[in-house]
Amino acid sequence: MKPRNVELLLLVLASILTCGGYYLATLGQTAELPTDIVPFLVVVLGLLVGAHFVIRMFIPFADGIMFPLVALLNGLGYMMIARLDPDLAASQAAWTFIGLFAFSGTVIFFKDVRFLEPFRYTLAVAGVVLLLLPLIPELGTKINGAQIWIRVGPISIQPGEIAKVVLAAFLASYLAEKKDFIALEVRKIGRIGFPAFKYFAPLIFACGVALVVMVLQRDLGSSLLIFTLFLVMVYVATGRSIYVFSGLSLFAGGAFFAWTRFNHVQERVATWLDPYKDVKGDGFQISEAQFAMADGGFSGTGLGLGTPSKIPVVESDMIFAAFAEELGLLGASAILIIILLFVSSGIRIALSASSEFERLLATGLILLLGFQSFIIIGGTLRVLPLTGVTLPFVSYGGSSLISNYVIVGILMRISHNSVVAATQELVEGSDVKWKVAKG
Amino acid sequence: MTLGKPLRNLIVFIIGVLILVLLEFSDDLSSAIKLGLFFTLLSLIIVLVYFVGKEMSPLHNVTAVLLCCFIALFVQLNRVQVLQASEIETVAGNNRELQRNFGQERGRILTSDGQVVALSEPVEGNDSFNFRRRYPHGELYAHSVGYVSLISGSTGLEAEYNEELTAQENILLLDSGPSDLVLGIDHELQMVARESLKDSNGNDRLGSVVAIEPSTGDIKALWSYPSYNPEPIASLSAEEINLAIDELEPDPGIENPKCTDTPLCAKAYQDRTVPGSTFKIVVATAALDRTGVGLFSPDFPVTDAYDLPFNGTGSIRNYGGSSCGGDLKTLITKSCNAGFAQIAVEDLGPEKLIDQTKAYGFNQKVPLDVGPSLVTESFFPEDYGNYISDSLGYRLFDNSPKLGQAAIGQSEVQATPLNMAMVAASVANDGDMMYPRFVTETKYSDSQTSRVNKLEVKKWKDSASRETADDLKEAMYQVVETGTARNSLQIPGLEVGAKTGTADIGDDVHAWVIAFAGRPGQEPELAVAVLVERQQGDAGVTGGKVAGPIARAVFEQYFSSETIDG
Repeated sequence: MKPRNVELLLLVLASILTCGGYYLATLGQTAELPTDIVPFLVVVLGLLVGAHFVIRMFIPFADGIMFPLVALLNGLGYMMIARLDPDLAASQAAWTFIGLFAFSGTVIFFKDVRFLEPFRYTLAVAGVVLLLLPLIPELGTKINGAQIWIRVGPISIQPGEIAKVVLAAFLASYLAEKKDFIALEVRKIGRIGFPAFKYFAPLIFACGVALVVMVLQRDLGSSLLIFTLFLVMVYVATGRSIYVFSGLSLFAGGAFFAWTRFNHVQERVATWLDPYKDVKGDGFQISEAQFAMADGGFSGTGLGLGTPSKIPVVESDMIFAAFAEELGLLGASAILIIILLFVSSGIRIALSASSEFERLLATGLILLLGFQSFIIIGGTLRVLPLTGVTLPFVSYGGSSLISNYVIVGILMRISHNSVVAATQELVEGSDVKWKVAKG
Repeated sequence: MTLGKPLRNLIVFIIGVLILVLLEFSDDLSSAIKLGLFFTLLSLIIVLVYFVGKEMSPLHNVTAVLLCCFIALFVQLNRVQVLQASEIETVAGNNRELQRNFGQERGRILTSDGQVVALSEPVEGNDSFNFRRRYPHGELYAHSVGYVSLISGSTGLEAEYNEELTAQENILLLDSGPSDLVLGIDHELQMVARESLKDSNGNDRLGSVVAIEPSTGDIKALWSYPSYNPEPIASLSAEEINLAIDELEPDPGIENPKCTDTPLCAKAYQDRTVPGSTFKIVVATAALDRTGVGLFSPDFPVTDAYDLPFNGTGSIRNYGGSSCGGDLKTLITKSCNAGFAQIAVEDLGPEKLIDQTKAYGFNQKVPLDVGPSLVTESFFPEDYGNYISDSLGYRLFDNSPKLGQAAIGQSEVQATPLNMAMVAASVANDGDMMYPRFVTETKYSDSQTSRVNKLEVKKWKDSASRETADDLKEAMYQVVETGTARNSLQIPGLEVGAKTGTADIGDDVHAWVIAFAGRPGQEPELAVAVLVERQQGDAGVTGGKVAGPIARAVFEQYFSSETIDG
């Protein structure tokens, strides 16, 4: 089947799953059938099919699996937010609408992603400025202890979410140009070779500033994410694992230092290791998440029948625990699998990208989302200390939803362009023209 | 050098197994083994990463790392939701289950005559809890109903029938939701049991009263003093609960506190004590069922004492030093200690008596429906040493003297009042001992439907043959007609059978009676065990005088209300 037809079919399935979940959640919560299920289905289908036709018109050769997976994650997340808090659901619906527009805009106007490539230093500066915005008095606001929001009129925006994309673009463009220099060993100490520092300096400077800003804002999750992004992209560009190991040792040292110096870091680690010691205090959020998930058990309490609202910030950081409680091990595993499928479709796009910049950008963007999912679910499950980031597409939050839709737009544009480029090569290299017609 | 694919797969498999072993058995393994496993794991992973990594592109490797991260998530998800779920549910501070219990209406608990003894009352203005549990009769039903508390768990029927009481309303099944429990206990009878355990001045006496319907095992009344009021424990204020619990818990100064150190102890089935002569019914059953001894033959010598074998082990004397003897029926009627000691030592021997006590439920958890784990076993000693010889005309053991003591319910023999009531009930029920039960049915009703689920009546033990049971009944009727219970249990219009007991515990005595009653010529309808503890022994206290009137009051109430009903 052609990718677009697969996509359409899968989108219909995703809509049905979303609406079915919404139906059950309403039934479970109020013991009444939702009255708005038909308009709801129409709106969901309408939005998705609309976006689908944008894809069909502008990037017909793009990967056919990625968008339905995103739609499913977004739909299930919306369903859960609607079940948790109808007020938030209304604004999440609006953000989804805007997000799909951002996606379509990216797809339509971003004809060639490579146009970004020359603006590498502009990108670096833009990323850092975006991160700094919340620190400006009057503009920035503090929510849940993290200074990462700015208020524009009635809405709060998290510029850091956009900054991550911009920084990934900077890394991709810089590494695409300088990777050979970076991989080169100019100095040897023992058996280990080191590259020339001057090629590393801009990387370390941009990422270092970003990290420092994020740590100052107490946004540990995002700083962990940016650091992972940095290591991963340098490794993928150069193929030198020594950078990863040195980076990890630096990280270990830095983490240990932070642990000895900062109270809030010690607190995080302590509640990670033993959340039940202070169930009503520091360990409250993480303990309630464990209780909720344990309560869900194998098959869950049923949609609308659990009490996930007991977990603080359940609609964003802890939304995975809500799924685990109400849908059980089965449903939570399904969410994990959807995320994995989404990541793997992104990796496929990166592997087939036609230019080095696109390959690195796709790699950076998809791994950003993959590791972000791991960091927040790992925090919920106590695999890692809890650091607040959103679960991409699932959690409540406008900034993250919009920037993630932009990411998916870029990835699908890269996917389409690589197929087009490959076909052109094929046409130039042989006389078999009918293959072009088949797509 | 590269590793072949099969070898790689094998390494991955071994790594997986090692991770599982480490995760699941980490509490049971010694730290040396744990370290060993950990380093094997680490080196295997390094080998794998080194060889595989060399062949793969960096992007593949990063993807593999991310995949491993997700595998870790999946493993941990399994642990939290399934493997460790029950552990997490019991973490202090995890009150999800309780909130479920207190967030929705819980079924009521009713007596057989419709008195509500436990109900959920809606609470206004409490964020977390919509209901609180009320126990309108306070201490009267505490030992059966128990309590369900926010911070100190639940016990009794509230705990054992939690599922029925809290069933979630399932919208797919139309009639579902919490059920009410209906007890066999009759409220009027229960009140009579409490009142009659008080002495003539209205002061409470330590003791227990248990009344059972012989044919069903239904408990019709169960009272033991002291009891406690579950109301404050079911309060929604942690302070109030802690205060109540502190008051009820045994004095912290007591070392190795016993059940009886707190009123929380349902002595009727959680405390065992010397049963005295009521135990002779057990010995008589064994003699009738398991030896050639009949109700009317042979005759046992008329004597004031039975000399136990071996020098210096003393003798078993009759109550008050009197002389008595004769056939088994006479021995029961007059409660002759000497005769029963002789039957146990010479006719029965250890094995048969041990078998008989088992058939009456001794040395086992009685399967009462508050949960067998709460119930204390009645005890009969099983160690009588080695067989010596039969040179005396019977089988002599090292510890045969102890058997003589045990035969009259002294020595180490201990029984719960519930168990002794079941002994009387099984005699009254042709030798069949039924499962004792508080709850007779569960009832679900809503605006449309009403569904009664009658719980099954089950036989627990074949305690005696029908013929033996008939013989025992005849003898126990005789006890009331002319024997030790003649002054207290002769009730006009009823046929009553009984066996009294006066158990020595140092200077004090326990006054016992087990009895059953029915209309003349018909099967007995109620069996009772009464224990009044720690009466001063010098005042001529006997089971007949002290415990008899309590059993009488219970019978009179039971049969009078039955007449009114029907």
